[in-house]
Amino acid sequence: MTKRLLLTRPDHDYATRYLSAWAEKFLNFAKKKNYSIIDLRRERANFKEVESVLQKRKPCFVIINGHGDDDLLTGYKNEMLLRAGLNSSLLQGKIIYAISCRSARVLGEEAGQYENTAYVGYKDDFILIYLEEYRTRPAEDKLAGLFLDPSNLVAISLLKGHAAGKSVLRARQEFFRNIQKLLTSKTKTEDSSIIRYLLWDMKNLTLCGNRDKKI
Amino acid sequence: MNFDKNKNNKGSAIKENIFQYSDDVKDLVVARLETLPSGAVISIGSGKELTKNEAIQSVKEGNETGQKMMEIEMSFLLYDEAIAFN
Repeated sequence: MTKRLLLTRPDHDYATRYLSAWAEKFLNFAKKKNYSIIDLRRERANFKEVESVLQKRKPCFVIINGHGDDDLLTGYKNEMLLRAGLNSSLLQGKIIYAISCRSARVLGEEAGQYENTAYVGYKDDFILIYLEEYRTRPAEDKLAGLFLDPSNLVAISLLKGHAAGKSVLRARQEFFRNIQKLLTSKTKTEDSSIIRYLLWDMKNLTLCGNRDKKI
Repeated sequence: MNFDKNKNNKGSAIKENIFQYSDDVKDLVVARLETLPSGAVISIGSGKELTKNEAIQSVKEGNETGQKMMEIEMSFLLYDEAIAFN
């Protein structure tokens, strides 16, 4: 049976455009692995479409690129998609990776309580640093890559069939490798100044729920 | 149902920090931010994006974004590897 992946890519500001551009990396990998991909871009990253896909097409893996807060995730123009106490039960039995701020705090905790569910997200603000000159070609921004490659590794590791717990650990290790690279004397001071933000994301990457869950 | 699905949550992700940072910490964070690459943009919390100069200004003013920048710096200084990989 073909496994389904739901991805939201609202693309309505620079941060979400960066997430979207870098998502191509794991999307290409998912295609090679023959996943059926439901890619909700721009206006389609809305409450109605997300609920409908979760209810009717039952993806086993859900990746939300967007903004968030303690109890919710948002889509196009910050429309609420998923909220604790409202529709988090739609995530039951799935693996979720929320590349957004804070949602692991309440929404992730709640979703992680459901049987056979793993929610990976960030328990505080997700920080991304990029260079202004790359705004129109974000995939070429190597500075942003220091943040987004480790983040993408969560998705790639899960798509490879690794468990949620292992995937989070591998991503944290990748953040740490980037930090170590920046600590060497060959690194320019201005690049090493981003270490604190990488460390912040590494520390806030969190798994709620079943750490042994696989796609 | 008591919710607004169209609610714009922009800017709400940065929460108030309970700690008051001293001027020494402010100065330290400003000095660190000055070493960021020129043209760097910091995306922090629900669509908020700051240039290097805007981030420095936030810290100097001590507003909520500035408080967050100071929290990140303190978190870096007090980092414990054992916690991160637990």
